[in-house]
Amino acid sequence: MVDFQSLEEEVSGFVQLIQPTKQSNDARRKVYEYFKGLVDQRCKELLILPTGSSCSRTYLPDGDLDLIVVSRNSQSEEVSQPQQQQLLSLGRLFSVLTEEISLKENGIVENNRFTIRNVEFVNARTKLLHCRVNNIGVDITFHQISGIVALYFIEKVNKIVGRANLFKRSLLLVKVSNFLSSRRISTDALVELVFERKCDLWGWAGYPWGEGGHAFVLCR
Amino acid sequence: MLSSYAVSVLVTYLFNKFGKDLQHPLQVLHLFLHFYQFYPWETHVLTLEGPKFIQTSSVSSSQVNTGREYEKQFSCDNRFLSAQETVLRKYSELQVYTTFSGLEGLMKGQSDAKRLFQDMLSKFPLRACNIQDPTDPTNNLGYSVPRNNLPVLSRSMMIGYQAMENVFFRLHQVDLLRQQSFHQDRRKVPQFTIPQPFTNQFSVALNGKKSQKNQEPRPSSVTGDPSTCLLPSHNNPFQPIVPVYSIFPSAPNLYSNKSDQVRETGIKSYSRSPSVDNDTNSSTPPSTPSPPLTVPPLTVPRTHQDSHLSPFLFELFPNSLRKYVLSGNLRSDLLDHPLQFIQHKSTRVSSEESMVALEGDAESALNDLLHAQIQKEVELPSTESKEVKTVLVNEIKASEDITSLAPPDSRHEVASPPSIYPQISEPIAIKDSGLTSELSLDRSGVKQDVDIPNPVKLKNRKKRSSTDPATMKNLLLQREAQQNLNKIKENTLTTSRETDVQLSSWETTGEPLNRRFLEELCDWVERQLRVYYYPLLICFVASMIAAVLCFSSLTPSPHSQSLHLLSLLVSPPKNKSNGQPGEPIPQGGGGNVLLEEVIHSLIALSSTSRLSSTQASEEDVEATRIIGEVKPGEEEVNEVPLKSTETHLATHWVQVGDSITFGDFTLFADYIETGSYPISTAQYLWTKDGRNVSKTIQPFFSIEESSFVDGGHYRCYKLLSSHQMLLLTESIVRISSKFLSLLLLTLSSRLDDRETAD
Repeated sequence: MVDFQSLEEEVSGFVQLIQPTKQSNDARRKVYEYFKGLVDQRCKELLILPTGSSCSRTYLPDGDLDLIVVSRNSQSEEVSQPQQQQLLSLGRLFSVLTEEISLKENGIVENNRFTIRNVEFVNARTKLLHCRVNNIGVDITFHQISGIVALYFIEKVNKIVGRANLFKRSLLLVKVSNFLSSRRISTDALVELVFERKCDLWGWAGYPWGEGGHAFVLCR
Repeated sequence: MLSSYAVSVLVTYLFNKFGKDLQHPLQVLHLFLHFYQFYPWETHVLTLEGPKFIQTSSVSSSQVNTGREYEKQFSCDNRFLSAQETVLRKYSELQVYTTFSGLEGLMKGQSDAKRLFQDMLSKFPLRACNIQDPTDPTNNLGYSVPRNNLPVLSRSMMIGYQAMENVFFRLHQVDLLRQQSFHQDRRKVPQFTIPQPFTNQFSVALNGKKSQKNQEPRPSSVTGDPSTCLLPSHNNPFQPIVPVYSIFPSAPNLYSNKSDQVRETGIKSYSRSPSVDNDTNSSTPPSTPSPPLTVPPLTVPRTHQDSHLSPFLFELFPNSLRKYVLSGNLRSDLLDHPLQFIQHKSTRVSSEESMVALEGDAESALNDLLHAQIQKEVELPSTESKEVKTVLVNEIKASEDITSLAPPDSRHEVASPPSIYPQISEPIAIKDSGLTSELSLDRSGVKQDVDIPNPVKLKNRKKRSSTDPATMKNLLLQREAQQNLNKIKENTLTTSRETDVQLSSWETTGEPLNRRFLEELCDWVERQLRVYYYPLLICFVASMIAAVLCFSSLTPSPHSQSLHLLSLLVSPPKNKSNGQPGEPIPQGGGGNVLLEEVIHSLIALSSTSRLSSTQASEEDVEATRIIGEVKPGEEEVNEVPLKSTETHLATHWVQVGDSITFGDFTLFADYIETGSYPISTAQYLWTKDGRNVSKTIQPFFSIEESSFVDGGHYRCYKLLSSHQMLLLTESIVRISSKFLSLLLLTLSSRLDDRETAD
């Protein structure tokens, strides 16, 4: 009979390979704590919380750390005028980050293990602040409570499904297979195209990757 | 395209509908790709209870019927209702913060989540892609997917699905081969034709109310297009053991092996629920329905030392995994260098740790939020009763104690980026010198290749006895060419011995060629080759790689790269002195002998293809020489002419001295057979122990018809080949294409480095 079991073992090994490790969790947690310390020191009216896949531990190795910022004060105004509050708080946070960078570069703060790079403000439908800290991408949005609740829901689902975190493991696998195929395909496209031509040249039938090369042509 | 949360909702629906049968992430992926590649995104809203049909004005009545059918077929009970309800409760706790759309209903006391979500569906904002957020009924998670991207989405899923099916099919073929070698009866092997991929097996499996006794597959209208249902016919020789990875009719039967004993153990390993354990009647039939959802976790992944990255995975994830592995940024957040991963690999794979690593902390974040709110309310004078709050605060404190973050450990500190590559200057110099020497050698080699005398005249070797000055000159030239070739071979051998040095230089300079990938690949190749015919395949691989490299215009000097990679491929792994007991020792005494062989054939084949490519300018080139090793003192030289029917390939002459140990005489014959794939008949003239054993070989392949009507599409070839050979060639194509990709990546990265340096 066909040996599916070994294949599944291989896939399990692969999932173990890409799944979060203790070290990566620690790295992200430290970045979060660093941000929390910053916010607690410099702007006390804000509260910063982790969300996203880094919180539910279903992030891929290059996954971002998602944080949300919630204002502690004036909640009714927030709800009534979300846009203004959003921009104000994010601008506040932006200035905090730049301050931190300047402090570190001038040598005022020592023993700082965190390096902030590429701070940018993304003017999308939901405004967000993006930067890289110690090579981990950090996205900070404002007041996306539903994100946390959704993660809570995912945790519950995972608990109901059980079976050694089967839900999360499958999620990781699906994410890998789907998402990364749409990103950064330049090198891959080259390789695929070359394969495809070679295979045509040699007249091989039953080529394993199918029409992947053609798909890449379409994508480009 | 889709956000990660949207994907998790899609997966959640799959668990909701098919969750009882899902045991492994691979099954989930298979199901995901199969279900969503045909999903009608525009007409159905995906909710946790299944797709809901949306009737708009632009939909015709027939479409309404099929849409309703689809809805009915895939609707299911919501097993995650309790989770949704707790989420709603959280919302009512957090009401100050949110603009949750269902809040009004909640405040009115409508706590039934199912009703709430169904009612709010009428207010659902329709877009091209419609996915309902299970925590917010009017939130469309497919909001940002434009209509144009939907075909791309389903197409990418289709490709992924096809890749998966191909893998399963190949597994099936391997199984066939195993059976064949077991029975030692080759006549029973079916004449192999190019297989149709198993499309839409799944639609049968999805057909819900199946009768397990009735094994006959029924076509269904699930996908809406019955013409795509290509069910395997009964004439198909593979029919009895069709490897459909359908989890559906009965999941445990998947692992049913030839013997019933194995089947039972397979089931046990998947269904050891407490109820079964209490049940002393162990003779349950193998077709029992799969265990209930409350089964304790059993499929804790077994850790395999060699199988972290197998080529099957490369096909399942053709883009992503290659991106990860080849670009070397696997865990770039953790590791200063990909090499560190090797050290981590041995330590990290305990399953308990992985379980811990997957524990999320969404709850603690929520509690933080609640905590902040409650604190604020405590500060402010509030009208609500304080008891509840204190209870809540206590709860939160307790949970914080549990989920309190560990104090930062100094050993696991994230290293600062400047210290990533500390010693970068010295090894680069070493590497550069090695590279340039290789390259210069290659250029000289190329020149000398071109200087090889006209082989037409060499064909008439018997006339060489006459003291013609021209033939003397030819002889001299030939000697010279042979010496040069030997020199090249020596040099390449020495470079292959220096692979350790080069690899270590890769380690320290952080060259993007990932060492771990190489190790895995070498391991895998070795395993594969031991399964198949080891030396035979080595020869063929070499010829394939050489040919591919010579044909590719991307590599100006293919020799050094290919030889280098080949030496990696063939040389035995260094730190594996304690050999695995179960595996047979390959023929030919290990890596070094085979390495020589490979280099022989590589040099030979690259020279031939080079000459044949320059055939356009020199019309009198009809034959090229494949030169083996001829020791100086030897006289007896065998010639093997290979007559080609292809016009662009010249007749090959293989000259072999006796000093070459091809392992076996039949091995060499096999080599010719396999290596002469574009040649319809091959002849070899051979004397062994004074006897003439010349023979005409019918090679494995013969191209009977090759039409270019369809623009040279490769499916137009009609190949007659043996089953065995197809397996071999497929694996070879995979290996060589992988090497090609490696090669391209290294080359491109080097080019990039030069550009950045400039």
